[in-house]
Amino acid sequence: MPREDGLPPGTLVMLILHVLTGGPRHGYAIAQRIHTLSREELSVEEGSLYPALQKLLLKGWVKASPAISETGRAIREYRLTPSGRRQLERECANYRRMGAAIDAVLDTA
Amino acid sequence: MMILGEWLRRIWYLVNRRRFEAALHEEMEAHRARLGQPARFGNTLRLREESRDVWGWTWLDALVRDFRFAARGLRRTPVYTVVVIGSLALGLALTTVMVSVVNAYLIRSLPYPAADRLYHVRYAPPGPWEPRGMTGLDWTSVEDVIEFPIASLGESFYLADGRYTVALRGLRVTRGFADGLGVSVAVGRRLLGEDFLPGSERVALIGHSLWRDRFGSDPGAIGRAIRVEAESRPGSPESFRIVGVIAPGFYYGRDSRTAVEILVPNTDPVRTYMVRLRAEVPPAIAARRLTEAARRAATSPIPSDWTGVQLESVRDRWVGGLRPILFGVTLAVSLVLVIVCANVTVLMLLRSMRRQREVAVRLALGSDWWHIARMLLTETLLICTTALGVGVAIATVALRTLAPLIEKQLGRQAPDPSGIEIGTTVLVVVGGVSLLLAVALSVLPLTSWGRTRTNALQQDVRIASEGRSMRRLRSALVAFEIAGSLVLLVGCGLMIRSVMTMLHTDFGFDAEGLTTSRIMLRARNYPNPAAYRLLYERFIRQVSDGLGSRIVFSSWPPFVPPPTHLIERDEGTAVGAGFIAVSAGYFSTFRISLGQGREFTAEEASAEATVAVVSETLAARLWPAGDAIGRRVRDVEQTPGGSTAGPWRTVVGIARDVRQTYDDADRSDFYIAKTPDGRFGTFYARTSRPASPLFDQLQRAAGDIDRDAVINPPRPVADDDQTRVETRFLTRMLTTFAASASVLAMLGVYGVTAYAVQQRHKEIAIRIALGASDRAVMRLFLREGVQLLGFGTVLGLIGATAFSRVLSAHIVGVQNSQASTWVTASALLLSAGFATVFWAARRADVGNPASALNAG
Repeated sequence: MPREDGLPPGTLVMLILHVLTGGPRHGYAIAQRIHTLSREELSVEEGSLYPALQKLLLKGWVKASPAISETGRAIREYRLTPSGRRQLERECANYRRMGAAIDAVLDTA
Repeated sequence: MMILGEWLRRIWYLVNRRRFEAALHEEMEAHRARLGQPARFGNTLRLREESRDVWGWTWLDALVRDFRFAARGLRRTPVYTVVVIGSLALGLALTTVMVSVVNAYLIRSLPYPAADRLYHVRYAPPGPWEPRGMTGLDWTSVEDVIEFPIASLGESFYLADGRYTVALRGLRVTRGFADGLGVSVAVGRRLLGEDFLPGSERVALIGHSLWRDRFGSDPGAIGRAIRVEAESRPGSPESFRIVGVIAPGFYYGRDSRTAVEILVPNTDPVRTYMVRLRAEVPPAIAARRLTEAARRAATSPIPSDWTGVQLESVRDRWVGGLRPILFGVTLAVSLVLVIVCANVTVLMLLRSMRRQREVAVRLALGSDWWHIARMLLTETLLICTTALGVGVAIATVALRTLAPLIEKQLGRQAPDPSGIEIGTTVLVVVGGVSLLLAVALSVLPLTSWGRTRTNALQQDVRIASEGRSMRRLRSALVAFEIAGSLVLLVGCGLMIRSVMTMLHTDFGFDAEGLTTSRIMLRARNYPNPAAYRLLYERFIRQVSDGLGSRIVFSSWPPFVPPPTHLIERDEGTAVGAGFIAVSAGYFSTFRISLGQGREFTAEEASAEATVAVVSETLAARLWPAGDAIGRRVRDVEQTPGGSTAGPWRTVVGIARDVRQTYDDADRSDFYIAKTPDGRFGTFYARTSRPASPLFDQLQRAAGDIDRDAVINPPRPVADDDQTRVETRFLTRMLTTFAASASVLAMLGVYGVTAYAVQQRHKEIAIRIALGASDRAVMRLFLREGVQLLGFGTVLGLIGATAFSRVLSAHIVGVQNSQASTWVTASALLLSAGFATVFWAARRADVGNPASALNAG
């Protein structure tokens, strides 16, 4: 994702996967959820969600099914697949390990 | 598994793209609509493109776009497109035909499995001597190098159930033959191991043509009995049960071109003349092992200078004679293709000049070089693919009519049931060639754009583009085309000359109008030689009366060097000469004139009188004083057992020299008088009667005397002149090539001159306005054109020297020192070129110079 303003590279995918653990959601809801959960800290250019979702679809980490939005428009709902769940675990573990390592460096210096 | 799933999803996406993209678009719009500030969503168009990129099909879109763009561009210039595709298609069609022929004859193997491991076995150099006892050679001792000893005995089987007795070409074959040559069947079963055991049921395979003609292709023929009488076992008819029909296309013979009509297992000891080596065994090793085995098996003392057993590749012998002719054709086709390419390149260069402004605009708008290169490559690819399709289509249609003709001209069927066809190999080769062409053709126009800068926009590109180096390049290409055409023209001229030489070669006899056939008799009907002779004499009388011209027998056919005997004159001097036994009237029927003396009478031939006719050369060698008539002479035949001398004869006539081949060096021939007295007789008649009624007449005449006599279908003697047939074929091919190459070269000359005229339109107008005459302007272009032609001709003459050297090395009668051919070819090309330049230069007529200047 080249334009994940304010997000460390690669984390958008992880965030989307995490948000979807709470159940199927459509694009707008995913964006809202990330926004809320980050205590409005992470302000993503919301459209960049869609290229990321295409990647998740291609990798088979999420599945899309047609749905109708609250405003009555045809949209798609995304659901986490078992392989998506495994991917999330891998990414989280990676992220935590990296974070701990960076913290360690910052603490000692 | 992951990757596979990903690819399946990708393809699913590609198939349902429109739906996917519409859904995404809708989804994004819905999202954006709900945002208080839609700007927070980002650029929708960009985001949609990024989403599409994820699926990874963007390159396909780009490709389709490029092709569409190229197709549109080509449609806008229909004349250019048609000319370029047309000439490339022509070149590729020629290439396809040539590759199919070469593939059929040279590349694809013989119709036997592992044909590259098949070798002819020669126990001694060609000649009378061969070690005895080779039938007892112990093949098990060489099992580790020889996979199958392949042996067969040719046999004529007489089938007498029809109106006339017919002879079937048959083979008695060993098990090694059936396995090693992989004799396959169209119907029924193959020969099996048990068929070769002594005492087993007698079975046979029949040929495809026999099955078709005698049994109406009825599958019920399998299991039926066929009753025949073998040539070698007269009086004891044999009955075989038909177990299978040999697959069509199975050939076997001295050079693998004789169709087999009946094939039966052989269990008798027989000499093996062919082997299939085991895989990876070098023929030299196999030959050494066979030599050792032959030494052990030999029952006669082996001379010290014995060279041992020699192996000769079956394939080499099969294609050996065709290689030079196919090589010549391949060379010519390649040259035509190169000329086509040069021509197309010139046209493309001219087109790229015109598009320089477009390229400049593209560069100015930020397009990179790679993109422009891709655009050009797509265009050439489109041209080449279309040309390939058209070319292969032309070749397919052409081959349908050409294939039988080519086979006839080359004198042998293509060694495979499918014959000359456009198969996978051919398509791969030709496809590869057109791909290479596409790349090669893109290079030059691309370099011509290399110096295009955006500032070209500010200038009048049509004048500015005409760089000196580009003009030189174009001229060089056209000069090259002229050179190539000249090479082909000279080659074609040399071939025509050689055919003319052949047509005028005096063979000493007149082959035109001579027909030959063969009569075969069955031994059981004839107790002694005199009985045979009686039949031949009755046959001669009967047929000669019916035809109105005499038929004559000869022991040796024309165009083949006869066996050499030593000829002794009474004083004890001996020289070698060809030995031929002929019946009465031979010399007059063959139109061999007699310088002195007379020819043999019917009585002399019948009684084998002790008379002889000698050729002029032989007479001069034996009696230099010129007093040959009435002298005593005899022939001595040398055999492995010693020499046998014939009776002393009296020379009664001196015949003109006869050549057997175009380069026959020794024209010493010795004729004796003899009506045949054996089972076979080859006879000749000078008649204009068509083959079919003649055949009927001959069969009737023979059948009246002996119902069992077999007559072969008559055929023209001139057909036996294989050298001439091949040369004529090559001449026709080269003429076609030279003509198309010349037309293409002229097209190139015209294009370049016409373009130059167009480019310098303004300059011409200025010159005329300043007082130059039309003639002076014309001269300007003529001079350039003539320079081009001159340069091309010089280049062509150099190339033609090399080409004619190749031709003269391979083809009889071609001499590369025929100055008149060179002059004629050059003059022909130069005058055509000059006319073309003149025609193109006439466009320099600008009319009113003022309006021409204003129009620009």
